[in-house]
Amino acid sequence: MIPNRIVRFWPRNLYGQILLVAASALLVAQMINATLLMIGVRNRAASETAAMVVSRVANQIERMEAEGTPIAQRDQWSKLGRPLKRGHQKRYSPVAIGLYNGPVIIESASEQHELTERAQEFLSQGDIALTNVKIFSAPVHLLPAQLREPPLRRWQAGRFRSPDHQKPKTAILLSARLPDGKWINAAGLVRPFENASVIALLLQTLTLFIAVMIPLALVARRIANPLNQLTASVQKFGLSNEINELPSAGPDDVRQLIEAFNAMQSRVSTLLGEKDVMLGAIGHDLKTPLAALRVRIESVEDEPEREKMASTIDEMVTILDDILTLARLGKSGETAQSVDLGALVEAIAQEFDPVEYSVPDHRFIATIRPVLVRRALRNLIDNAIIYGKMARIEILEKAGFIEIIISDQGSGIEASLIENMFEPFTRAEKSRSRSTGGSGLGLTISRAIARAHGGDLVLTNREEGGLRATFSVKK
Amino acid sequence: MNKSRPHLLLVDDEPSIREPLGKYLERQGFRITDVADAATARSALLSYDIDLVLLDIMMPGEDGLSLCRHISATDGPPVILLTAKSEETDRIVGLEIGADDYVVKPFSPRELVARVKVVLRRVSSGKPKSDRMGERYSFAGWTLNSVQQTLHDPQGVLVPLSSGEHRMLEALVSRAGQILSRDHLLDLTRGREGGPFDRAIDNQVSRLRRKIEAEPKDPQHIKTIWGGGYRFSTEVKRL
Repeated sequence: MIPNRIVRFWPRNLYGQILLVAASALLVAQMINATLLMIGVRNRAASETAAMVVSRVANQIERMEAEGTPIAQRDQWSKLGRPLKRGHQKRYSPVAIGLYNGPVIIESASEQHELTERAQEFLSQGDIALTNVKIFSAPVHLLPAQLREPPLRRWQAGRFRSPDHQKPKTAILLSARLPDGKWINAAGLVRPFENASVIALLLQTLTLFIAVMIPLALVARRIANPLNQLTASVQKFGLSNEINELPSAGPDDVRQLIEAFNAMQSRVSTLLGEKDVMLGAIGHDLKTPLAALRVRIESVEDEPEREKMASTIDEMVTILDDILTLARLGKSGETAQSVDLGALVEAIAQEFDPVEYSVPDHRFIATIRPVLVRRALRNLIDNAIIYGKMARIEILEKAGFIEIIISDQGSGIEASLIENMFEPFTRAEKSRSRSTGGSGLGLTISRAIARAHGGDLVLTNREEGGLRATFSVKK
Repeated sequence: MNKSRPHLLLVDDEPSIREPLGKYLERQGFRITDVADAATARSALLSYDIDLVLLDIMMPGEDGLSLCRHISATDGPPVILLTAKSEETDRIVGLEIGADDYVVKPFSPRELVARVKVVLRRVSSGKPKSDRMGERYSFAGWTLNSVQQTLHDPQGVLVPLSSGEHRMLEALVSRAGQILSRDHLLDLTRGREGGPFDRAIDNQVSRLRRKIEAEPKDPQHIKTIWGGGYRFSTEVKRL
């Protein structure tokens, strides 16, 4: 599992994810680059210094040879660290050379085999045969003073200073055996890694980020924006049957998706239109024979029998009306207008008994289709009175919604069954009997009406017993 | 209703309704002429002295609304619409183009007869149709539409009223300036489904005040006249 800490920073949308992944990948790549670069720079500096040390040693031996100084005159060697000709001073590197009775051995020094090989090859070309040539890399502060100080002094004098005054930490140490048994030891300082190159690296990283991230952001936006529009459009399509053709935009893949959606939308809309026409026809065609039947039963002499027939027909008409209302909710001819919901509730409350409704002291105004909302509220109040003895109605405003709460004093509904109540033709009593009337579509219709107004219908059991229906509409 | 047998014109394209309904109405003491379309209905209106038209809205060819508009424009007999649609908007349209009443299919024939009698009685008593129908009033920025049964406040917000409240407000507004006793108001507001009883008048008025008065405790529109009843005191314009 991914820890929560990380999840919190993980963006949820496509745009954020693309950018975050790309930025992280770039960062990792740049870190690897930087490490490789630093290792490279360090190796190069070491081999440069080694070359200097080797060439200085070769040079020195050559000079000694030329001036005929016997090798055994070891006093001379202590001065070898300094150039013999002043004019060349500037080019001289910070290398110190000394003659010893043995090799300078430093515990923590590490032999540089590749450099050793190259030095052996180079030095073997001279007249004096050096043996046991070895090159080490060693920390500066462990060098014997004789080898350490002259180059450091020169370093501090500024000639070899790096721009940011860093002291060299590493030295290249060369030791070789002269034919007479003496040992020649030489040390040179390795130029430290400079901060300037770190800054250069950062600048490079920044440039790369800008060069990659800006175009990437633009492309990601080009993909994400049409997708978001598509989502909004799909959501809207669910609410109303209005078609709004989405302009196709973005890369081909997204463009094709949008075009496919547009095509689907118009197909679905055609189907819905056909459904409405068909339902209208069914409604009309069923009502005509029902109306005929309703007229004909007046000739039935047996009055109780006639009354039963009439109520059966009424029931069929109620169900038919409910089905038609539900099916054509999106196409209701009624236009939305701003309505005083408090007055609406009060007007409906007068049709029922027993109802408790305390009139609010201010108005609750929302843009609604009053006939539909009235129908939804009538259903709810009716249910409360039938199943819960009475209806108590409250109205309040909450976070951009107006809530109308209808509570009763019945036995409530088992929590696990509440959601089922919104299914068409579900009833609170198990028998599905029609003894209490209604089509079994009441709650389905009421919820659909609430949702068509941007709100919802929620049923909850009250702690003090009974059921609470919260009908909300967007303000 | 001077004739003992009022003559009804029944216009419906459905023989399954037209025929049994015609027979039923004849048994109830009406004289019936039944036709299947608007064109035949027009000629029947010319040839007979029709007292009332029962008119189906949904018909092939010219529909019921169009014929109703024609009858109303030519000052013809009263019309009761028979509609299959229960959508409120359709009923309102019917009333607005001059129908006197409507019943929604499937209707109880007994109820239809009751409605027919109410309309015929009103016509014979000489009450003009406009007294009940198609009036719009405005007062202090409010508008009251008696057909659509709507009340809008000065900001255009719909303030829904129960039918009782509506009848009460309409009775008061249409007789602005007159003092109306509780008995008179009871008479005026008794609806189809039986009106409120005496005490309810005061309740209705206080509900109305809460909705239309800025200060229900100090009403400016609906004033209580001591010992008399109520008076609507704000100037009312008929629209």
